[in-house]
Amino acid sequence: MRDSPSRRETFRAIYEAHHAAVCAYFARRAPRDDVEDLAAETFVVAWRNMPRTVADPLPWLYAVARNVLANHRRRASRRGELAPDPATGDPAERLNGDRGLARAFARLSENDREAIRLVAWEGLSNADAARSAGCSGPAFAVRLSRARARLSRALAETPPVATFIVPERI
Amino acid sequence: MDPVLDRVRAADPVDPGEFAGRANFDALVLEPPRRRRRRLLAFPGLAAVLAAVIVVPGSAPQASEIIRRANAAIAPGDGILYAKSRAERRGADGARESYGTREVWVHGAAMRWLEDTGNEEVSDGSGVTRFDPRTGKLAEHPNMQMVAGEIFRAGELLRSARANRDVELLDDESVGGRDAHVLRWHEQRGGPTIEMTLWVDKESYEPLRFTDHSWGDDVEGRPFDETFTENVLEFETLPDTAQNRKLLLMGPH
Repeated sequence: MRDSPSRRETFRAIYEAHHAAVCAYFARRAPRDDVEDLAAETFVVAWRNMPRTVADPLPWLYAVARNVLANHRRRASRRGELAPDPATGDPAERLNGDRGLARAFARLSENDREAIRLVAWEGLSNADAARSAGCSGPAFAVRLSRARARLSRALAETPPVATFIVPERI
Repeated sequence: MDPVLDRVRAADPVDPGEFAGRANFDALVLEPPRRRRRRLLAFPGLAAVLAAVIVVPGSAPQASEIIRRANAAIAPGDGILYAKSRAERRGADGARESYGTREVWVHGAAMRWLEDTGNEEVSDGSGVTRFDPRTGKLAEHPNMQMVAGEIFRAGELLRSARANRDVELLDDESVGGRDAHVLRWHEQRGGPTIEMTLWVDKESYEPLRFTDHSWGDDVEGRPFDETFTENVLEFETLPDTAQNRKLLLMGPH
């Protein structure tokens, strides 16, 4: 597709409508210092790969963001850099100070956590979350159902703990 | 109403509107999209490599036993794992980036990482202390954890791959004069193809070399082909003694 003015204006509208949501996506999963860079990287990749028609761009942007985040974590791992602690340090796992929920959440697989995040935090329908997660709608529905059941069990098995506010920044 | 999901919703770490008004479209560097070309074989040499592969099903006794013993050699167990290795990355264009030599000690959640540059990091599992030789200063990083070297990561991945019965046993090779079994598996992330290969000593089953070969398009759509290699210079499991636990502590600075 050529870089026509209409394509650029279409993309500008998508960017302005969804920039905050993409930033929030990364803020829930990556260190805050990286959020805006990751969001910019996501839109650059999205621009290169934008299909001719995008009826509902947000799930598609989340799918792009998922790959950008995977590459980001991979690069950090390669360099032997520090990584967010899955139990306490990652914004996704800190859960706004709900320590009991954080402990239960940490017992889930990453696939389970992501299914719950997409629905509870990104507010996506099952169909849109499936697009973002790169799987079929029925597969996502099963994944979410099982993830929710596992989280419920983990919460029941997690002893009550004092809830306190964890520092916002890593 | 779903009380479980409602509790997760209430724990959303991002405030609504936190990122509103920060969009700056004109700051994005948007180059004209390139025409997409179909790449039939991004890595021609791969065909030759695959042609030489002898694939043994994961259920074959020999392959299963090798994987089990390799797993056991890398698994932390009760002792303190120690590895000294040299790592580098090579691109398809021959460009080479050395990561130098590093020593790593791992015991449960505790870890110490020491590079030949003097960079040193230790963690007790609840935070990280880093010594930066350029500044000569120690820095505390609470709520962070260290990423173990690829050799230790290989063990984790091998265990996962074994569960999915996706480990191939290739022809034996010699690494540094030691006969080695060669195990290969793939990591699926929906992005680039990632091919892991682990060479293990035929007698001790300890790791001798690990490579992580990935190819495809990077996040900007550009083709890449690179191989990360970690050659193990020393590998041993130390007994969990008070003296050896001191090896997990930051050296004097």
